[in-house]
Amino acid sequence: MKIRWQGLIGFVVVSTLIFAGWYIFADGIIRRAIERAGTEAVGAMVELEDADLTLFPLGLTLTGLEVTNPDEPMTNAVEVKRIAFLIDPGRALERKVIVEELTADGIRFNTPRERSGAVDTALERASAGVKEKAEEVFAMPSFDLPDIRAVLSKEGLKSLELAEALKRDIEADRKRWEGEMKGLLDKEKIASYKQRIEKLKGSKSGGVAGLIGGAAEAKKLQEEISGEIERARKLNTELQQGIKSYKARIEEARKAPSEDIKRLKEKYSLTPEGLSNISRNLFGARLGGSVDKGLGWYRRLAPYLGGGIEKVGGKEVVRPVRMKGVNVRFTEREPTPEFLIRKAALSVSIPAGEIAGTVRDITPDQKIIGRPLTFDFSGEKLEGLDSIKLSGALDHSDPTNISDTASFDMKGLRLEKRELSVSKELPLVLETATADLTIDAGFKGEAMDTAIKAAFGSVRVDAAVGADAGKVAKAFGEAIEGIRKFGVEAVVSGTIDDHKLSVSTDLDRVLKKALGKFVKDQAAGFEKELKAGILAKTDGPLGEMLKSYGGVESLGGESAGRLKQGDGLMEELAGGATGGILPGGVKLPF
Amino acid sequence: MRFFVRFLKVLNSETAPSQISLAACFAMVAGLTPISSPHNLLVLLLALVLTVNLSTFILCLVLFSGFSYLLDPVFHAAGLAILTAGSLEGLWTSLYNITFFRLIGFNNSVLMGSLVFSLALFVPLFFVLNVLIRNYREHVLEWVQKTKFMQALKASKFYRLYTSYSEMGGGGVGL
Repeated sequence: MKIRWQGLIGFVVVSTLIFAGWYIFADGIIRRAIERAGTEAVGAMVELEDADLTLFPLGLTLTGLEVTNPDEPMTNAVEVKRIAFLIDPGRALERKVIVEELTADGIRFNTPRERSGAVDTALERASAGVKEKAEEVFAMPSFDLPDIRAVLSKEGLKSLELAEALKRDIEADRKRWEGEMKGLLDKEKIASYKQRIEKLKGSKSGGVAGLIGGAAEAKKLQEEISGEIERARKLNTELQQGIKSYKARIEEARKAPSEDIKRLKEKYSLTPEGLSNISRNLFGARLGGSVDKGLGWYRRLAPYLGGGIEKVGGKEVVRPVRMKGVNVRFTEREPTPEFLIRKAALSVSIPAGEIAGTVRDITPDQKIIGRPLTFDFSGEKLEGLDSIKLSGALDHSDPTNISDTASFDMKGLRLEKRELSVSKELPLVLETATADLTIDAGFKGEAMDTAIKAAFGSVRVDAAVGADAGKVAKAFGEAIEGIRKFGVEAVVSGTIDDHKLSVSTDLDRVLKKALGKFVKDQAAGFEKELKAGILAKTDGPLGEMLKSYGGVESLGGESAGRLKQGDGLMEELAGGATGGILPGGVKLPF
Repeated sequence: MRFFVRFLKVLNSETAPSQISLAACFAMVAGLTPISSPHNLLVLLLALVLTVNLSTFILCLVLFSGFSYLLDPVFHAAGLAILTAGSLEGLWTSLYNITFFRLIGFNNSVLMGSLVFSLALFVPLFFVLNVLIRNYREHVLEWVQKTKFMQALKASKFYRLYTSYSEMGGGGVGL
């Protein structure tokens, strides 16, 4: 086959055209790749204004990066003005992105967006986020005691239900037992049996024939009486057992109003314990919202520190960003990660000013470099804030022993006009205060342990108590307005998906001191009214129930009396003290 | 259409069958493997420097690229099996530590699967196509020339214009 030398020129031309075309479109390709990968990772729109690739030196400059907050699609979680970095060209030939130093300026958080950044998957979370935000400001519970009649008409009373049920059961049993007792060893029958016994006694001296005839009659009589006694004994046993069971149920029904009173009191009245919950909830709702948001971002970012490495056939594989299939990894002589930013120098704009910091060793392959990602930010003499410091390490170098820590320290934060409670009766506004805040967060695998401490000084709270507010609300308002300093401590424990936030504050002590007796007296008054209301409702049914029970008890007495009389008859028939009916000591088989 | 007409013309001409077969084989390698892979520059260089038929190369490149979308899952499975085969681990580890091989991305499952598949078929396809082209020219060409399709194609304005343009020296190098 001949060689077509002019083809070489063609190859050079085609190759140059391919390369030139790639270079012309590279910026757009990179921009779209970052937007697509970012949107997939965050779950909300990630947009980039421009990407500029340079070949000599090999580097990339990104401008206008906007990352939508997936929970609030009209807000950017992060906005970065400019990101610039150089890439190691030697490693780039090995398809690795190794960046010695990256600089990012103009990083801002929670900036408004012109259009929604929601993607399909974020829509549901967006609505949930709005709900969460609405719940962040605590709504103070009502301080007014509810109307007893309204409470009793709304709430079911266990005592009433028990009394009515018991009355129904007793009535039903009483009727049944009365039916069964009819004609059983009653007065007429006893008289009739006595008459027959007397007649038998009278026929004792009638000779052999009289003796035999008398014995047969005595046996028949004995069988009749014995049958009646058996039925009477059975009924009596059943009655006595029923009475015993009803006694226990009556005792329970008598106690039931007290239990109803206790339950409704706990539900509707403000207890001193409930008072301390108010101050806890005042901060708990706000803290809970912040903790959930922080954990949401941690949950999103954590997988990228693990690298998304899978194992197939015992080999590690990585899904490439743009190509199909998977990239299989083999042992390297000088192991280096696929992606590594050794140092990122970041400048963050917060409302108080600029904070500078560095993040080191950003890579999804920490186990290759054997070091954790570390970050360290600080700022001093800012507007409305003395100092702020954030540092920590995300250590995923051993996937079986993940350990992440972060500590945040903020001093001299001046707060103004912060809404604490949206209660109509008692809206609370923190007019001014200075705050020191420290947060120590730790994660060991899924387990988390975070301690939050805040100390507030120079506090001025405005409690705009409504004109028609109750006495407790007014006293609460006065107490909280008098507070000049207080502390809040919170602990978040459990796992990332199932964590518990416990908040304690020394506001509790102040509020308890100021309002404890007041609330106790009010609760006692409420209990008294509640007791009167419940007893008024249950007295009638309880009385009727006891009346029915009285009927059953007298049935029991009657039954026992008849049984005794029956036994007396049998004694008389068998002989006993007055001598037997049958002569010659003939014994009857009973 | 232009490349199809050129291809028919070449197929029906005295062009050596090996030029057509080799073009199809190169196109198979470039088309079945991911088109942006660096090794395809070498394929392009060979296709341009060796006197293979470029119309056939371009037409077959389009056809094989279409097939590759359907065959990607097969290539992925095959490539992954080759790359994770214990007996070849030493070889792949050595190549993995050479920048050139990292650049061509040999450790990608789809690339490895498709490259091995197309290289394995390269020589057999070359000879099979040679035989098919010769048989076609000997036994089928005359019949094809008489078919209504060819008659209609030859009668078309586009075909006439194209052939007259080619005869004047247009149509590119070595087509």
